[in-house]
Amino acid sequence: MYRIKIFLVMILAVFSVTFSGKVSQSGTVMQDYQAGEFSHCADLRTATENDNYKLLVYDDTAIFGLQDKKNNYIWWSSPVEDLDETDISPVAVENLKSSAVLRYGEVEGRTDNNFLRSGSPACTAGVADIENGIRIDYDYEKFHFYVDYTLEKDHLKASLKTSGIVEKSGTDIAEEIIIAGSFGAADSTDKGYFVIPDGSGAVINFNNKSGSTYKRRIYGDDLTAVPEKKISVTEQVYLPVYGIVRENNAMLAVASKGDANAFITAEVSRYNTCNFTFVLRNTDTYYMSDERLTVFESGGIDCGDIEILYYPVSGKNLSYVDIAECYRNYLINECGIEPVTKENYSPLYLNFCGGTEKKKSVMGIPFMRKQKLTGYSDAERILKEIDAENVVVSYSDWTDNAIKNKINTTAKPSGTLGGKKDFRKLKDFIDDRNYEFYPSAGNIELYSGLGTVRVSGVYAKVPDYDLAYGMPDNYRKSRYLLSPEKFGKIMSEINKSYSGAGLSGMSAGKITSVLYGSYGKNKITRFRAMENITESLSGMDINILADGANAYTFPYVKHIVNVPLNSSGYDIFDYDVPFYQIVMHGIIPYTSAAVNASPDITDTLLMSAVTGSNLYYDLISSETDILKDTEYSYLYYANADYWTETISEQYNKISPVLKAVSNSTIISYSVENSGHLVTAEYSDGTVITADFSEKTITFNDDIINLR
Amino acid sequence: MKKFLVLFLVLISIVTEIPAKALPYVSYNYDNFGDAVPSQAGYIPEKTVSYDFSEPKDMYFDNKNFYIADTGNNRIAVLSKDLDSVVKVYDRFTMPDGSETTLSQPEGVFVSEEYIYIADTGNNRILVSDFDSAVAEEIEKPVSEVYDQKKTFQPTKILADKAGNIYAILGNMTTGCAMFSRQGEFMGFYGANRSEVNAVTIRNHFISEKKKSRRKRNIPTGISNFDIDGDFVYTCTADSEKTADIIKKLNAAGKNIFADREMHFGDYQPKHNTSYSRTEICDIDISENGNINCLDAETGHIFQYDKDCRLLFIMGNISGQSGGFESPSAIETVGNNIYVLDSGKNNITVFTETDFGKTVHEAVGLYNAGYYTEALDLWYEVLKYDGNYSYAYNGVGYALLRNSDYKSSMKYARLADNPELYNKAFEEYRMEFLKTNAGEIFFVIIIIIIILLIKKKRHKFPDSRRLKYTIMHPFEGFEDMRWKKSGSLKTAFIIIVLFFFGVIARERLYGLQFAAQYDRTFNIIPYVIESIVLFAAWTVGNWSVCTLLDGEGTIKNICIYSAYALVPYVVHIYINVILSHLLVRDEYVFMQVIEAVGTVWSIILIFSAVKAVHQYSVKKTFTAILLTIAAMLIMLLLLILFMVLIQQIWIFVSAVCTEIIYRLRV
Repeated sequence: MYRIKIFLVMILAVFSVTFSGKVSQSGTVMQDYQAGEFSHCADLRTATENDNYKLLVYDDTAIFGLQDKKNNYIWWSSPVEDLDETDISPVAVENLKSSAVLRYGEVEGRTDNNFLRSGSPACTAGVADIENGIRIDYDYEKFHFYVDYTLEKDHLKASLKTSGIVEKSGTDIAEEIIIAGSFGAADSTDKGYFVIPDGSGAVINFNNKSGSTYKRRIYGDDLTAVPEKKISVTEQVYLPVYGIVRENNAMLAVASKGDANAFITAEVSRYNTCNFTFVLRNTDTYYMSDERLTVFESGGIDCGDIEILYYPVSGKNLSYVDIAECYRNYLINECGIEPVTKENYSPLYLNFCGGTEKKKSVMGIPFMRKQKLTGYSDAERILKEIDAENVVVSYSDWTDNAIKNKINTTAKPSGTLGGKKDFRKLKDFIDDRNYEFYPSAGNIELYSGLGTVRVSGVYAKVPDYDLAYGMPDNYRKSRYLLSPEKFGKIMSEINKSYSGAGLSGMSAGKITSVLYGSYGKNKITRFRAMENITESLSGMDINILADGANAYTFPYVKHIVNVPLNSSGYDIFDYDVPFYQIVMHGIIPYTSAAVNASPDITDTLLMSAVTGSNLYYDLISSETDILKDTEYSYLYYANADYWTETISEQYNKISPVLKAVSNSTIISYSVENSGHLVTAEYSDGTVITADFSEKTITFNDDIINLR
Repeated sequence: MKKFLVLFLVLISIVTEIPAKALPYVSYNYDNFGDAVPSQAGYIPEKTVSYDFSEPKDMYFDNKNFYIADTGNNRIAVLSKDLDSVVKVYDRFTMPDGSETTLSQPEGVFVSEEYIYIADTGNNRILVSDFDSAVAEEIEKPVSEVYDQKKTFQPTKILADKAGNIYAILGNMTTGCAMFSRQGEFMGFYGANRSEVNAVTIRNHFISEKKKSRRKRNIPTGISNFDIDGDFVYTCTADSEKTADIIKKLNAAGKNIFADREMHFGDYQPKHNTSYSRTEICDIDISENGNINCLDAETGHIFQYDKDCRLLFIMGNISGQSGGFESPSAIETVGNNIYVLDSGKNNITVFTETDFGKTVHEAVGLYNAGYYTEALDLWYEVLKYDGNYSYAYNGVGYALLRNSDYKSSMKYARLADNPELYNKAFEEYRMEFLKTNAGEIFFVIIIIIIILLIKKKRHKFPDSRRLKYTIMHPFEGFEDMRWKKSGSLKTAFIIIVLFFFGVIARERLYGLQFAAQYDRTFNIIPYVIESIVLFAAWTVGNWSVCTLLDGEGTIKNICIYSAYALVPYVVHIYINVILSHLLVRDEYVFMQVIEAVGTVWSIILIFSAVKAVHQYSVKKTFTAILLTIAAMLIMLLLLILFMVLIQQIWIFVSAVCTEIIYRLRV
């Protein structure tokens, strides 16, 4: 037995030298195995197979491979070649060899950085056969859990029941788990890249020498864990997926369960890895007389079960577009999302900001007062001035409660903005023109109430951060977060009052793009919060416009605004791709971030046209000076007086392009000439080309000049 | 072997380009009050180019190529203008005597038409080489009386002027940059920073030389970097403690042109945390159009000022994203692009001007050249994209002023919070108004006088006749009041309330030509203290003192009499508030006169009131007033002590509470 192992290792080593570590090396080995050369080898066996795939496994190391029958390519759960420890640290080798890594905390010692790696000698990982797959059982001194890998028709499913995690000692608690962390790992000679859905999406080339790692939480950070300082602005990860692309083989990984508590992690070093890290329990820091303490989430693990689906894709010259297509098919087939786009439909999206609270002086003494930014009649006037065939109007802070940052569930027009009569007129005008109307509701940052509780036991208070230094600005009131347990109640109240007021749509604000828990006595984890949100959204009779949308809200929304056209631009990224857009085009209509917020409007319009993003503008009907020292000071670009003409012009130039493809999907996307020439091809055959040097858009032989 | 080594060194560069259009920070700017406000981006990161550098410390562009002081790799790398290729690597040089020499930790590089100047920091020398690596000049530690021979020679940054004079910043010197002739002769120091006058400097005048020598001296901070633009040398200084001399513009004689102007560079101290300041300007570059670009090594912020030092844009931060830095070390500008060298990430980030930035630059160019009206439309365009851009409101305001549209100019001056501009516009507007409406104004004045004459004197409250008499007769009024036992507490109360509002009005309701109003940090407590508490302390203090000094006044009477005495002072405040909206700055003297009259009048009345209420002699009144002031000070002291105690208790209680809450949870 031992000799065979050595023999196998030697063979592998020879192959790695001969083929200079090409991607196909593992595949090559396998073909030999199929030829029967290693059939006497008991270590590697076929655990199960179906029409498309074969699941192979080494029983002793619990390393498995997913073989695509179309081209016999194998995706290994860990590198199977000999890991030369001279250029990798022993810990990294263990990580690469592990099919599961558990991070745990010692409550007594308050340490939270202890790791159990299945690739280490301390672990006994047993492989057992189950129906359509295998169960890998991990047994440590302090923990025990198992992961099932089953072969489905078109994918491999990895699942872990969190109830099956046994914490043997009461004082050591599981914090994080990585399953199949090195699945599809690429070594230093491999060519290919990872696709990360950061913002619009980004690509990390294998071995790109950036020397950094990527770790971001899916669906954004937990807002309840308010950071002490804020300097960097990042885009959100809206989709629970990542992709691995090699020349003729690619793989989409979807966190279909446990996504609410998952991170996407990517690393480019000696080996290139990308994986999901699932949080089982959150931690927080707590200062007691300046002493920094680590506090663990109390109670049992409550993050739902964990499930990852691996979809291999094979074909010639694959790219992130194929990954996106695979995910789109998953959304339609597995998640039951019905496309809500229409043919020849590209409305103009306008967001009016109703009002805010602002300090006003009486006898020289400043008081907080309601300040009108856009009255109902102003909104009507602006809509009349804009020449557009179809407009989707959202209206934020349009009730007194919303203006005062209180819980806002009633569709009661604000007197400050013109009262019921003016609102009625505005609504009738919108109905007459067949525009769509989405007054907003459901603000989550409140001035009153107690809000959510941090893991450390204190209430979460969200401050405004100083723009220069990133620390909390004490001169501004901090806000509480609406407790996620209230989502259901609030949404049903909104549903009732909006329906009662004859409103057919609501803008759900940030509810569709934020996810946070509350960790007090009534613990609600992000997983439960996600359940609450999807449940309450599914009960809505009115249409929903989302301001940024996480994947779990897709079945319930009609429009998505504020979809970023870029990623966070991390150093590890090589370039940005419109992954989100490629997934969503032809399913749900979306817009870019407000066009008039852009410092380079022409470029934003070009990018919008080529990515099929509808045009979106923020507007207020007052001098922007009035926004100074209010929560809307960032709307410095929104003075409608300057914009109505420009918007009509821009919309009428771009919308023919967008309408032509509104119901199609993007089938190819390419960037040439160092980013100056971008081409997208749609499923109906339309090709849209944006030339960033000439500032022109070419589509169906028409040239639109934006200069 | 040698050949192999050279080859190996040339092959170092791996270029990766990251197209990036997003900002890893909220783009901001400062308003006229020094508050950070969100603002449209004038520049965005276009790309990042990584090279195989090791802690590169300096970068210079000679209109053809970029020269990088690749400090950790002991060489100078030359990159093409578009940064996509390595043109040359300088790592070994031929000395005039034919021997070969290498660099050690070079931290500075400068290139003229003939030579490459290298601050060869690790070798304690300056090398002047031609483009074929032949050393023309080697400058080592100067032997001079001016140069402290105990100190080593540590050139870190270097430049040369048109005449070939060489300037070097020495890392261990605070006496300015060392200046050398074309032949390498030491010519002395140039452009030292001033030492700031502070409490220590003042104290030094009072202590002995011996003591002084033992104390830490108040040494000015050394210059961190410089740039040359025509005949001027711009220097920057990395010191978060100081505000003077952060950026200097030196003429050939070493005189700082910016010295006497009130200017601020770098980030402002946030108002909510005044102990916080982190600006450390590490490099400066003057663009072709005269804009001053400074790089802050601490925050990663790049500040761009126009040639008159008005802030245009802020960009960059410390982050692991493109547009952010790890340890930024040098800045260069080429055309409309800004290049930042990062010695932590070993890369160069290229920022390009946005459409918005272009509009601002055009507008500023016209404005600074005096073409106010021509810039007007551009300023409106700027405001379309960024209504927080206060420079644009100024621009519009001045343009409208020149167009004689005074009313609108006043509006924009108000939007810009610019008292100076408002003053000018208001003066013109007032003139115009008086000219066009002279007849009507005259008519209105006549009517008012007639009404005043005809109107029967009706008094709103019964005490007003008494009040008037008392105030108009400072020396007998209070006596008379005392004899007649008149004076009401209600009137006194009204006066004090008016006093309170007057104090607020004086601070916050003046015309914009005199003061811009700032709401953010408003706190009502100081106003309460300045009026009501002060009056109460006076009353109580006076009563306690005078009870001991056989005074006859009751606390009620002291209160009433003192309040009556305050009337001229209170009235003057309101008159001045009204006048501040009608006068311009040049006429401020009228308000000063009124203030003087009101104050003196009230002082006399107070004296008289104390005298009357306690039936004192003049001398005793003086004593009583002085003692009252002393008593007020004691009360103030006690109050402060009490507040501190309360604060301590509060801190203790809250600490106990957090502990209890925590224990309950765990």
